[in-house]
Amino acid sequence: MSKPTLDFRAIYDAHFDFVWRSLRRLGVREPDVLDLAQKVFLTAHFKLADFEGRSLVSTWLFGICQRVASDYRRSALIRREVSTDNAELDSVATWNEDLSDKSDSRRRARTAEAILNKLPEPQRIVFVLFELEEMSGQDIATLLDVSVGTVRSRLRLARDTFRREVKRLSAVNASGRKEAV
Amino acid sequence: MSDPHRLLSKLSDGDDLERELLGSIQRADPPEHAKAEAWARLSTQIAAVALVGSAHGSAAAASAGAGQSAAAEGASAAAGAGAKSALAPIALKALGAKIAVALAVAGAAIGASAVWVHVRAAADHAVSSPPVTQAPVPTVTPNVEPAAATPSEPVAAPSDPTPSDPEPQAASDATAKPSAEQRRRDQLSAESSLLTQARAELRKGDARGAQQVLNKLQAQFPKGMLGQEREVLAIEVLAARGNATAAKHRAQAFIAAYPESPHSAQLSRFTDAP
Repeated sequence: MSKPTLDFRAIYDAHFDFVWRSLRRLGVREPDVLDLAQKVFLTAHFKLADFEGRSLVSTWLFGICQRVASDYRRSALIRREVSTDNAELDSVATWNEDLSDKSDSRRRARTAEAILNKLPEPQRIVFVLFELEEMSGQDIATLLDVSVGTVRSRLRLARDTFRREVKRLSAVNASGRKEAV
Repeated sequence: MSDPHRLLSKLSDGDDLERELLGSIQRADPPEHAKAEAWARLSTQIAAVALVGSAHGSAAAASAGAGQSAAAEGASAAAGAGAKSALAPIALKALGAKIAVALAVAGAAIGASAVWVHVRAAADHAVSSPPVTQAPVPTVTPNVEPAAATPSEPVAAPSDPTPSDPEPQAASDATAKPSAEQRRRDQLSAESSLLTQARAELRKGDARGAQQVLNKLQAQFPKGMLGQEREVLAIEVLAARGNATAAKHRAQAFIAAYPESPHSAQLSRFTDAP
């Protein structure tokens, strides 16, 4: 019986960074990640007995991250802390500087996250795992327990949305600057 | 059929702006302190749940003390109020409130000043959490935020009805047949109270007494969940008893064995000693 508890510590040490990154990727805002990572591991601790190595530890933890982040997103939406609203997105994304100005990386990150928030969750997950975590389509399919074909089609849809939003923001921004002049 | 090129790769047809935006969120590693901080809070929560969970048994009351009966009462109250359902991860938010109670109890009962029990950190955390509706009954009161009344959002399913979650009544059957989980919590509770006792001895300046408690701990829980914490304390005891060389060697061994442990950084003060 002491084995799973020992393993829990090992799991924590080996996967903390993974859980942290996953939560960030799943739309959890930075100030909230610590709390939610804790929640993920607390859940994992109590579910460890059920886990029994039926999948990879990372797959299992990612599943918990998804549920925790999904609850979080729902309540954050209710509190209006995460916006998918165009007008608000535009205000976040209205730069005074040129879009490619290196100095404003924080604002760019917020903009990118705001765009990701517009993606339906299944697409968002595939998109970030592929584009940012640089996982292969096959690995993502295994992680999410879906087919590679599904992964590719979600990726395609997510990319379409992402690029459309970037173009739209770019246009909004250009016209905003013109008005300012 | 192979994967497409990544947008961040120059080989893809992504444009510069797309790469700029994506690149801005590519790094998402935790800050340096996060891992240790989260573990400190987590072990506190787990220990608190163990304490609450074992209130119906008598493990929490194992070590006698002045505040003991009050503590046991408090713990039972907390357990009655929701510790049962606390085991279902669904109710984790509600658990936060129970833990705050349990922490107060733990603090009173065992004078939890142990390094690994960051009561303060956890208490701060509990305070800063969004308020939880006072739930008279343990059940599913999902973590609906007070502001949840926004009409546009269905509040029907604020938490995931995960089918694999343990049945809520599973825990209440524990009296009949203690589950593995129940035993685990009881053991953890006993282990953490011994560890706290050992630490208290050391704080009092009684390194020998601390050593004796640690020996007991080692004998009862050779592979306990708090094994790392026990070893760290054992190293401190060695140093306190003037055995700097042994402390240094064991600190080195610990760091080699658990390079990623949050304790390893803290132990460097022993390995850096001449």
